[in-house]
Amino acid sequence: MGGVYLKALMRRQGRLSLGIALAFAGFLLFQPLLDWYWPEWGRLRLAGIPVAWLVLGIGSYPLLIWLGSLYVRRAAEVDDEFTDLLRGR
Amino acid sequence: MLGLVGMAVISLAAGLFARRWSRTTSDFMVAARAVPPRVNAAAISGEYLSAASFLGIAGLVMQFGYDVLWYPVCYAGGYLLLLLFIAGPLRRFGAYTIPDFAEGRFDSPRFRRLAVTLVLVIGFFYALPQMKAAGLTVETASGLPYGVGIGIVGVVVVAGVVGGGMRGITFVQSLQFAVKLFAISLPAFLLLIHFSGGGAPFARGAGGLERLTSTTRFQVTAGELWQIPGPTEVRVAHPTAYGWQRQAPTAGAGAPAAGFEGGTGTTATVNHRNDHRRSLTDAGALPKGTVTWRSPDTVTIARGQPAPFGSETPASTTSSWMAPFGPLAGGTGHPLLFTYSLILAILLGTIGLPHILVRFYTNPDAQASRRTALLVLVLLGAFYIWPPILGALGRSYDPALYGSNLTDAVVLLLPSQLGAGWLGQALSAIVAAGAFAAFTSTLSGLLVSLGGALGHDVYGRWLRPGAGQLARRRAFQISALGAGLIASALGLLVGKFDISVLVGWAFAIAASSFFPLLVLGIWWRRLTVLGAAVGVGMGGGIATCSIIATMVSTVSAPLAVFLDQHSGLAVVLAQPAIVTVPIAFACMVAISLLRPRPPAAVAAKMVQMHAPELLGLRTEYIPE
Repeated sequence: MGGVYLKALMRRQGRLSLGIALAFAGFLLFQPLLDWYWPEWGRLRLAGIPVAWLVLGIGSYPLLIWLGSLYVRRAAEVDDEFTDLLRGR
Repeated sequence: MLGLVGMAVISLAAGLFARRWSRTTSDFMVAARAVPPRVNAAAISGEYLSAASFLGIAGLVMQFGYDVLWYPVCYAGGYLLLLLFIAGPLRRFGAYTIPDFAEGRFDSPRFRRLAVTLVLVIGFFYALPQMKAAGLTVETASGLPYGVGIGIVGVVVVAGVVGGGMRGITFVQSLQFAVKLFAISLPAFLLLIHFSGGGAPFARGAGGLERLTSTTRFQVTAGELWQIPGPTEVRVAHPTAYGWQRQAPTAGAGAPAAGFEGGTGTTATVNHRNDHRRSLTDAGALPKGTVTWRSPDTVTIARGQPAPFGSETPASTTSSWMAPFGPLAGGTGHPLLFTYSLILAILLGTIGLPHILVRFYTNPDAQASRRTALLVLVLLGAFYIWPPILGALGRSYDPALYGSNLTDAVVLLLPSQLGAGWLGQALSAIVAAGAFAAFTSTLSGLLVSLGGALGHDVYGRWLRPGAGQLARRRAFQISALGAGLIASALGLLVGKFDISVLVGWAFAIAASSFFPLLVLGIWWRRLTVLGAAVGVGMGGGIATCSIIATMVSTVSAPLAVFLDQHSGLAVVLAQPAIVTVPIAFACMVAISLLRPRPPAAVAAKMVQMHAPELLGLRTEYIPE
């Protein structure tokens, strides 16, 4: 019986992690395709600096931190719900 | 110089001071879980930000431009994956090294030995470039020979580790993170203001050439190779001869970009049979093309002339340097394949580095472990914005470094562009201190891991299983000393490799062995010990072999010719992650499904890893 609960917990945590990982992977892995199929992307500029540099070299970090904090919050919620569920029985 | 001495004294003093706190072996190895999360996160970041981050990235950006941005982003991104999949469960499991996890999850001491062996391989690969950076920094900052720098750093690091152990270096490393962040951001910020805005490196039009910002004297040696991007007026000290040809040099074996990740390949080579013999008596113009000097000389090039490129950097125009798939990825002939393989190796390799996981064990519970990892992400993000800025500024404001093959030292040398006044000198001292902090902190972490693997496993389990706590602690200290000596000795040999070359290899091997092991071991209960062992062996083995093949191709002409004709294969050999990571996963899954023999008590282990601590369902699987 406990095994069923644990499987459910692992599935929820796993899905949360995988979803956030895919969001970042999508951001990262999309850029080479963009560079490849739309070369103008590499030539766009903002205030003299190429946009591609800004997006990858600077924009990546706020995204990473935001995704990370989202995960830490949600993972704690899932853990707490599971604890309450088992204790409430 | 002052910066170096100051950093060495502070590191030693802090390490020895902290010795008073570390009394038991557990204190010594994992700091007894008594470290506050903020200090812990700063220590993790301090340990992670190695010489490859502090010096290497800026140098590579200067050489190759946009394509190098994948490095810092993926170095940081690896921590997101660690946070998502590993940090919490591994802390609950109680494993503080990968061999601990390997044995605890599968009850197999034999599998542990395989893991220990790989830890040693990756650890030494990772220690070598730190040693090179040590030699380079001391050489640049003080003029002492390369070998002396390595010796000094070896002594400082070994003394800190042997004296203070884990708890000692935790405080030292958190201090070192602060030094590094300060030492990279302040110079970058001031230089940005000094050169008024960051647009200048990108300002030249298509086909623009980098021009020297001051009149420069280059000491050339016989046989030294220069790529001349446009007609260049030079003056020589002695009449001299040089060989010239119009075509650009081909990169050494394994294609140019392959080379950069895979060895000496960026070292351009020329078939000298095609050389036209030319000579210079006093002053004259070098034509566009490849020049090979025939005798040692002093070559003076006036300000405003095009900057020559040495053998280590492919000559590039501003537009190709700035755009995606520039000299790095574009040079391979398979830019997309190369880029994706690079991303995979760095992103996934972080988790498998032997010195990274130890500190997550020092958190009190899984949620604290997650918070620590998140804090590390914030700190890394704050750091990694700066090195590419310094690299890009270096391209515009110190292009003489291309000709003297000193791009790896751009972080150290660029502050002197602020002039010989106190500001320039102070900033030079600060960056030297930061570089010193970078390689000593990473080396300390590696020595703890290597010393732990040698002392705890090789000595405490294989050679003398019955050894007591004191004997083990002594064994750890002796092993750390030995590992430091070996790494220093090997460091003397790697002077000609790019700093990031060996780092890239360590990441590729870790990504194709330990990453699949940890992810599947934690999240997939049906993984068997046989599947895990074959996957780790195949992934790590093939990655190691293909990297060795790339190394061999730099000295073996037939292999080099073969790889030139099969450039796709050359890319994959030099940057194998895109093939070896799927192989490792496939082996693990296929063999586990074909011969289903789940290890004993796997259900209880899954509970241990995934159930919240509050439920009190704990069983300890990791013995002290």
